[in-house]
Amino acid sequence: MQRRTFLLGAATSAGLLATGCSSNTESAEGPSVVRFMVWDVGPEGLAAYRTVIDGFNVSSGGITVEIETVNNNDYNNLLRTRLSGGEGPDVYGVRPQLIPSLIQGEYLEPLGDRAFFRSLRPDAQSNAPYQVVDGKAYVAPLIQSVQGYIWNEEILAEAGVEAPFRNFDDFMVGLEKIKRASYTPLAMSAKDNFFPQFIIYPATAQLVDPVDPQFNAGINDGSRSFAANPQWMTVLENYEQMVPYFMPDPLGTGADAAQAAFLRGEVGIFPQAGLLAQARESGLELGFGSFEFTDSPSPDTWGGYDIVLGINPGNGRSAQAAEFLDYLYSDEVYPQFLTQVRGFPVQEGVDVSEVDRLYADMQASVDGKNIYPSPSDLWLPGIQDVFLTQVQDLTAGRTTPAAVLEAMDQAAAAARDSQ
Amino acid sequence: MAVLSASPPRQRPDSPRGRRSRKASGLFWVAIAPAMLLFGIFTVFPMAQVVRYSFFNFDGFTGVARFVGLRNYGRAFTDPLLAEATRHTVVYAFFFIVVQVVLALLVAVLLSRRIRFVGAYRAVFFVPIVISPVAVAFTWSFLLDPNTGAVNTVLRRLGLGGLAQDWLGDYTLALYSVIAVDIWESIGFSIVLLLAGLTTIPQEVNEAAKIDGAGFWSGLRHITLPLLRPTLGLVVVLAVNGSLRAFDTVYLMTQGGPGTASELYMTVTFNQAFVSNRFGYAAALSMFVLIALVGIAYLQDRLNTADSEVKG
Repeated sequence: MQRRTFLLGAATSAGLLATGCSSNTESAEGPSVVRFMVWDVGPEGLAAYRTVIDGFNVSSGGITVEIETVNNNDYNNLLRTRLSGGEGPDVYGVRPQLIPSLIQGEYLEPLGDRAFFRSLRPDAQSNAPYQVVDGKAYVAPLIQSVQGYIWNEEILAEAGVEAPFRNFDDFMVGLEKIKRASYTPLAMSAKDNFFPQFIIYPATAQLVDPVDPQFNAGINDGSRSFAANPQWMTVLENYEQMVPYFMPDPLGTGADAAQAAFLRGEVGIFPQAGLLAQARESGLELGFGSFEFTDSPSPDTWGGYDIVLGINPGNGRSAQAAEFLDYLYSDEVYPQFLTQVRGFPVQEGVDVSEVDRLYADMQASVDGKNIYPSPSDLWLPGIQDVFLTQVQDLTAGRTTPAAVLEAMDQAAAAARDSQ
Repeated sequence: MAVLSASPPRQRPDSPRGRRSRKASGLFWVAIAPAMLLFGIFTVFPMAQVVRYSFFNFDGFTGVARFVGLRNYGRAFTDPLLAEATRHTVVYAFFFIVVQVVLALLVAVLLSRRIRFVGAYRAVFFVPIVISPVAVAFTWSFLLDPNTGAVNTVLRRLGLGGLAQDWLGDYTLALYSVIAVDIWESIGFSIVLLLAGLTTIPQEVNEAAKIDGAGFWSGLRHITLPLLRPTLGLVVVLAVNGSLRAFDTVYLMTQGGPGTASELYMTVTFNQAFVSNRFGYAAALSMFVLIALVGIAYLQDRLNTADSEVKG
């Protein structure tokens, strides 16, 4: 009796649990629902995706796409949890540093034969070092990113500064002049430790990567060292020189506060072109330039892609997912989508110069250049975290570039040890 | 003192009382089975997994795990960042346990007296508890902005500009700023518990003490504190528990920075798991906290038992 009642209770509980857990399976959704997950793209970005999805859902003949956005900080963890739990999306935004483990876990399928992938520019099919693994491309870029700085024309004119700057020395002279005109020269701060990357990675793309394109891979396999790399030392020394021109109290000032100060017209230069639309709305007269850390204009630039997409083969809906991406990258839809998100194309012949009068210059800043991605996208997990912490210490003057590089080597060794 | 029997009186299994007892026992198991199953799946199983993975190098995603024995535990004793974070956690615990409880006690004693607008004062102290911790952290981050934050702005307008600080960006201040916000957020709960405890102290005892010439401090020391001991014990245990698990305010306000100036034990554990993908090491670090929390639960149980015996 006792045993029977216990089993009865357990069976009832199991039944209740099973009922509660089974609501989101493929059979409940049907094979025609394609789940699309991407990190927070902002209200305008989301509206652009929704426009594409609405158009596709009407014309697809039974396939329905559902989009879900997840906040940036939680995206990687949520994606990994869902994928490993069998509840992953069918199409999703891929952060480059996750690609090796996503391929290893068979959560990405090769895209080389897909029509939408073949519509990309050749460089967009294989330019980024993380894109092609063992001869197969697993991710497709959607939006080319253009990195650079925007400046407040009024402030620079008042300070007697001519921009864009031809090289790093020119840039430093400009910052000093803006400071003397009683303005904060550079809307940069370090409380949000991701923010300084916007002035460090343009330098690594021009100084480190062209000299040794395999440097980051070498860090991961132990054949290279940060401390033994003179270009990395130069990058951090350049950073140190820029610190006096940051926002006041840079370690207690968040990126949002720096951005707000630029939008209020209190700062000369903002180190990220992505603020252009908001700055226009604030009524600022603006210019655009790309960072130059070499003596003469560099053929290299930091960039990559704002959004990179992959298809999860695990749900059995790859064909439907590819059909959606064929639609998104089609000649009729893709240009409109880019205009709406104010992005730059990864296909030939798409003109976005109408979006803003600076877009032609911005497009020109990447056309024909060697584009290098963020090095942290290529490092083993754990290195970037130490790097960002060390950069805060460097900003505070509590450490030296040499000590930062040594700490990064130690972090790389620890990361290799954990593999 | 009442003596409780450890086991019910023995009954003959085939007697009517024995059958009723077995039936009741069966119903008992049926009743608790759902809860036990949920507890097993969502608490016991994950904890067992944490124990297991603490002996592995495991990235938490690919399923590839390499057995490393006690290496993750050994590493915890040689990790300089963890040592620094542990020191910060001790400082945090001191303020969160000692300073917060003393402040809460004083406020609770004051609020328990018959003063005007006491209801409004209670509400003021209680309000932070009902605000989302995320909202609290973001709001205080704005308030503590060194250039545009309300705290420094008010100080400057009062002519106290010398006291204006880079609250979250100064290496020596950041940890204390976060602790202050955490105390502001949680002190209301301690006050509510202590106020509830104070209402259980018979009014006649306080009045008798006054007649005997006891002043405020004397009454507090000889009447209030001894009679408030069970509640104080609970408040302290909750504060210890909270300080060991402290994470959200630091993570949202400083991310452990500037540099590593406000890293706590749990922020390091989180980063090891979710930033560096070292789930095995993070599991080992979690085990230390788990052991500490079990110890605290044991002490709390002992405290409750001792109090029950005194009352019995």
